[in-house]
Amino acid sequence: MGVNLRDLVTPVAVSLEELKGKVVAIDGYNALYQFLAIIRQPDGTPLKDSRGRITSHLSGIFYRTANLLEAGVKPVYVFDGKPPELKTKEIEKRIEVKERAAVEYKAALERGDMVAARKAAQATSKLTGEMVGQAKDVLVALGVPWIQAPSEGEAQATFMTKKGDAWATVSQDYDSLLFGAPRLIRNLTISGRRKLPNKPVYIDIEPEIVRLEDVLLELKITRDQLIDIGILLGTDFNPDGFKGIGPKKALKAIEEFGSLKAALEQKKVEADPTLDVEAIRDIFLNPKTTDDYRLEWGGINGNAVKEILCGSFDFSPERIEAALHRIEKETKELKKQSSLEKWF
Amino acid sequence: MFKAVLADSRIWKNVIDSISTLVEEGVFIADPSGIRLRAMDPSRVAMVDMELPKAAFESYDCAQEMPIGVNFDDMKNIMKRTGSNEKLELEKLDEEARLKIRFKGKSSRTFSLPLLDLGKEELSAPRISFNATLKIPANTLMEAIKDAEVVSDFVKITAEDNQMKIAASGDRGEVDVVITKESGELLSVEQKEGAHALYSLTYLSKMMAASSLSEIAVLMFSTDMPMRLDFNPSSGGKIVYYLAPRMEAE
Repeated sequence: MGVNLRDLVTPVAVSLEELKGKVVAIDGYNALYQFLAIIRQPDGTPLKDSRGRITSHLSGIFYRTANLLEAGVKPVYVFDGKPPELKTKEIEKRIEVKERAAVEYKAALERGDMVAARKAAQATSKLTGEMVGQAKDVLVALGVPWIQAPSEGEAQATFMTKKGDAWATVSQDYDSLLFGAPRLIRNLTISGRRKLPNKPVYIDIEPEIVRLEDVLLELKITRDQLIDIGILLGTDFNPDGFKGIGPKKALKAIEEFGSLKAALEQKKVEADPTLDVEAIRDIFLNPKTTDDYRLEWGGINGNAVKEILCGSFDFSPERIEAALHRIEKETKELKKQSSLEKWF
Repeated sequence: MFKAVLADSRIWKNVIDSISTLVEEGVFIADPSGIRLRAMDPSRVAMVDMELPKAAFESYDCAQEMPIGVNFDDMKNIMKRTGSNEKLELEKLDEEARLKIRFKGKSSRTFSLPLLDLGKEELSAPRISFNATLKIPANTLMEAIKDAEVVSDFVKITAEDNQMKIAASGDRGEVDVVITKESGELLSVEQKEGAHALYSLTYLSKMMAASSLSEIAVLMFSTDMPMRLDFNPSSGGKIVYYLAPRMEAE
């Protein structure tokens, strides 16, 4: 589920106003999974249309993207392509987690334990190719660009941020820092009131920004060393990490030996013999990316939005129209002010 | 390694101000012929294209191409510390991810700026042909922009009959500025045909930061096409901005 750098970084709150006019490259799969996990009824049932099809992802992509557009932010969604082969283990692990969660969900419902049911249900979220296609249709109708990454979406989004085509990479995971994203924004697509897991308590989730430069300065390490720390903790390409190593020990090992390679050579940390550290480092240092994309915000096609959401998926026309009305001014403005894109 | 000395540190200060007005970070490319940078603003509406050739420096030493990724807020704060009559020395060793910025005047003061690893993807410049080229004092353009800002957020620039018009209108009123050759303010005008386009004042006023480098601005545009605004410092080099147009209201 991505590398866990939470204990090593100090995020700073960022408001939507500060992002006005800026391009943000959003990890599309990550956002859709968040929508599927969060947008559910109290007992864990996802939103569905009259034919029983799940619509949580569409509700999320429409309303959350609309919030960004209303604030004058210019979002671009980046979707995963073919995963690197090293990710197979992580993908198998995710399937297993989902299967276990599905069993637990059923059991919790039978017990009548709604809190446990919702928690388990969140972990069962499955994102199909069809659902991704539906979300892309909504983006097209909203005039918001999306990009197909050759491999990892976060790597592509980060490539665009490094190049200056986007101001920040948006994801809940920290992996984009390992890919070298100068700025990572978390909680952007899920900001607002959210229920704490397992407690009937609501908290406000605020977008926050993590700057790679600050992380490296604070920890007094290089990006290469940050990648090593990530591998010690576990990434999508070695989900189990190193046995008995948490954030503090990982940082200490890198401080002491300079690199994971040196720590391994001196037998200060022990790796699973099948682990190819260099291959994982290579994914973060030289990921597959493409510069074959265009970033244009083409204005909104309200009828197309309504056709998809209200026509096909039974969303309330009043609510969709109210949201479209809210973003009318900003999207018109977006369309009026052209970007330089067309002239390259 | 890269080492360059500028006789007047304020040139570099002005270059940094001209870039930081649009972008928060970017990559200078230093090579044997000089330093250059091209960067887009975060909303992709404007671009800055900067070049300072070897000849603009008192001494210049760079054996091979070297990317220098910079956070402009940080560099701007360092450059604020320079005074008049100071030389500037920029130095980067091959193996160090830091840029040494040394002010040499009454004393020698050295800052060390951590560099950013932003890769070295270079942007190309937009491909546009321009129908009108207007040469005007930077100050005249700046005043016209300030006039327009009183009433609107954007401006209509027109070039026809060998004169330049800058007009703005909004709920707060209307303003018309006419700059002619006769008055001496329009230094030169070349036009293949009449041209008119709308541009955002927010960006235009940011781009005027480069007026500290050159008293003359060269404005090129065509109908509903991006504008190119050039500042050519007498000490050598160039600051060029591109600004995408606003489309006329439907």
